[in-house]
Amino acid sequence: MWKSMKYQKQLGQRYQLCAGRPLSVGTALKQQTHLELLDTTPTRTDEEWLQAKPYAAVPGPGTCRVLSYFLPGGKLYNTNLIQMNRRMREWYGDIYRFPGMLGKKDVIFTYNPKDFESTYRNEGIWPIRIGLESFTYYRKVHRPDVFGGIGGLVSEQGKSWSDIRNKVNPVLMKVQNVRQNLPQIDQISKEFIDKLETLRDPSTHTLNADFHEQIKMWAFESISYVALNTRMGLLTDRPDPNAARLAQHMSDFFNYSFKYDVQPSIWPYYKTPGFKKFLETYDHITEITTNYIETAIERFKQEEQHTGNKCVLEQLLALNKQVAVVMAMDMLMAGLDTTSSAFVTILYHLARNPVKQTQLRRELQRILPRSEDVLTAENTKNMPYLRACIKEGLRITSITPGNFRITTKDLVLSGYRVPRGTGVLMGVLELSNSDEYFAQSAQFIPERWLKPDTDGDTQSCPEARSRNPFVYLPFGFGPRTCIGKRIAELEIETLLVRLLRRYQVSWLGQTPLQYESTIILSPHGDIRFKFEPIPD
Amino acid sequence: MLVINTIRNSARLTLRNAWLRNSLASRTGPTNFSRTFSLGLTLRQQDVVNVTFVRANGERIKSSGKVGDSLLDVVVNNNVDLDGFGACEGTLTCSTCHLIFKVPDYEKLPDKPGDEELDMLDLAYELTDTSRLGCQITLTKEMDGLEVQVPATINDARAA
Repeated sequence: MWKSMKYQKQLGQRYQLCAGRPLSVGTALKQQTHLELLDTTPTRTDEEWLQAKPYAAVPGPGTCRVLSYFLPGGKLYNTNLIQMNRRMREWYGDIYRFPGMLGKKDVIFTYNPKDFESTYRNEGIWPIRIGLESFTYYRKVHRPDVFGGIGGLVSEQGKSWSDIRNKVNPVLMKVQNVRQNLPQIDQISKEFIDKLETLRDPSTHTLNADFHEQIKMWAFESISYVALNTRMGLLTDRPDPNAARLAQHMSDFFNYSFKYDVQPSIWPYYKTPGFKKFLETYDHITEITTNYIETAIERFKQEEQHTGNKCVLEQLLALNKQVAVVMAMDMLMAGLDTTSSAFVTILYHLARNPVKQTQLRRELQRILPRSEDVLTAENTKNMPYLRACIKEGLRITSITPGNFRITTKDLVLSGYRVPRGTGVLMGVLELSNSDEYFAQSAQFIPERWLKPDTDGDTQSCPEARSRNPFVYLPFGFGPRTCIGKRIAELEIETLLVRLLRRYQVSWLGQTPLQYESTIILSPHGDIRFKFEPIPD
Repeated sequence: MLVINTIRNSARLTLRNAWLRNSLASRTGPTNFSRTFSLGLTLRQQDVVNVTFVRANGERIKSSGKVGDSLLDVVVNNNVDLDGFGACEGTLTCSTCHLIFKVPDYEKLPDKPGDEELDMLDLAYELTDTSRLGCQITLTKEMDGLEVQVPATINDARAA
C-alpha cells in the first residue's frame, strides 16, 4: 500500500525541484539520517564493480534540461506521472538518471528486472524508503503530544523504523494470525452482498448506486473492524455518524498528500491557508480515531475475562499504546482507496473474461457447495485459481506503478556503478505489461500463476510468466513489504469468493476501465457491472 | 525533525547481542535446574535438536535448538553468523532464510510449503527442488542431526 507513496514521493521531489522549491531544513536532516544508514565498508574493488561503466555515464538529462521540460511549453509540462515516466524512458532508455537538485539525491529510474533484483537483494535489514513530508510534519512537529515522536512505518527509517516494524510484524504479517479475522471479514462481505441485493434491479441486474462508492464502504467497514475493532455499520441503514466523516477525511488524505508532497508547495516555509486546513483535517482524524480507540480500550477492560483470540487492536495495545494508535490510523488511511481500487480492478478483469470467471466459479463451488456455506481456515486454504486471478489482475494494473528504495550499498545496475545513497525507482508497472516479460501481456491469463502440480482441471502455464520473478511485486519485497498485504489479501479473497459464488458478473462500462493517477492508481469514470444471480 | 541517531552497524550489533543475551539467559535457567535434578537433564537432552548449517564455501556451523523452534530461531538464538539471514523476521516477505535440504530430509519434512512460502521461494537466490525457507521449518525430535546447506548469496557470487 505504502509503496505508492514512496513512488509518488520521489516523483514529487521531481516536481518540487522543478518548480524551484528550495531545500527545507527537514529535508536536510533527512539526508543526513540516510547517510548514517548507509553501508560503511570501503568502496567496492571487485571485478564487477571495476569493469562497470562509471556512474557519470548513466544517460539522463542535466539539471537545466529537466527544468525546461517542466516549464510551461516544455515537453513534460502537465503530464501525469505515468506519462512522464513513459516519455523519459523513450528518450533515455531502460536506465536513466534523474538529477538531484538543491541537496537532494539523484534517482536512477530502471526498467531492468535484474536491477530490481540487485536492489532488493542488497537492501539489508533496514531498507530505506522516503516517507511523506507533510505526514511526518503533522505527527512529529505539529502533534508530538499525541504521537510522542512516533512517525509510523511510512516516516521512520533505520532503527526507529525497525522498532515499530518488529512489534507489528507478528500481528499484521503472520499469516495465521491475520487469518483469524476471517469470520468477521466474511460477515462484512455477506453484509455487502445483502446491501448489493437491495441496490440491484431484479430485472436489469444493474445497480442503482455507484459500485465504486459501495466498494469503498466495504473496504472502510473491513479495515475499521481490523484497526479499531469497531463495526461502523457503513453497509447498513444506520451508519455510525462519525464513520462517514472519518471515511471522507481518510479519502482526503490521498488528495492532500498529492497536493503537499507531490505538487509544488511552499508549506515548509509558509503555512498557507490550505495547509492549515489540511492540519485541521488531520486533527479531526486524530480526534475521531483516538475516541474509537479509547472506547475499545474500555470495552476490552470490561470483557477482561473474555476467552479466545485477541483482535488486532488488542494485540497492538498490548505492545505499546502509542504504536497501536499510530498503526490504527495508518491502517485506516492506507486501507481504503488501495484495497477498493485493487478490488475493482480484479473484478473488472473477471467481468471482461467470462471463461476465466466460469473457471473460477468451479473452484468456488467446490469450496462452497451451497452459497450460504461457511468459509473456514481449512476450506480457504486451497484456492489456487482465485489467488491466480488476483495476481493476474494486479499484474495488469498494480495500484502502485513503481517501487522505490535508497541504496545502502554500492550496486552495479545495468552495467553502471551506482554509489550507495542513490534513489532507485523500479518501474514495475511498465514491465509487467510488456510482452518481453509476459507473453500476451494484455490478456488476462490467471494460468500464468498456477503451480504445475495444482489440483483441479486447469492447466498451469508458467512459461507465460517472466523468468525473473522480481518483475511482479505489487506489494513490494523484503522487510519493508507493504504491512497491509495480508489483510488486503484476506479482504479481497473473501469478498471475491462471496460475490462470484453468487453472481455472474459482467462489465457494462462504455470503455475499458479508466484510471486516475494521483498518489495511487484509482479507477474512475464509467464503472458499471451487471450482477446476475446464479441458481444455487 | 527526524532524529534517528543510531549508526546502523552498531545498532545491529546491539540487537544481535540482545538476542544472544536473551537466549543465554533462557538457557542458563533450565541448565542449572537440570544439574540438580537428573530427570530434568534427561528431558532437556531429549528436547535438544542438533542442526548443522553448511555454508556455500563448505564451512560447517554446528548449532542446536529446541523442539518447536524454527530454523530461523536457531540462527537468531545462537547468533549464527549468516549475513542478512531472516531479514523479514519470519513474516514471509523475503527469501533470505532460504535453505537447501538433502532429498530424504526434504521428503520427511512434516509440512508442505504453503502458498505464501512458495511465492517467496520463487524469489530465492539459487532455488533448488529441495529448497525451503528456514522460518517455516519447525524442529521435531526426528530432525536431530539435520544438515542443511546455506545457499550462496548475491554477495558471495560477486566476491567469487
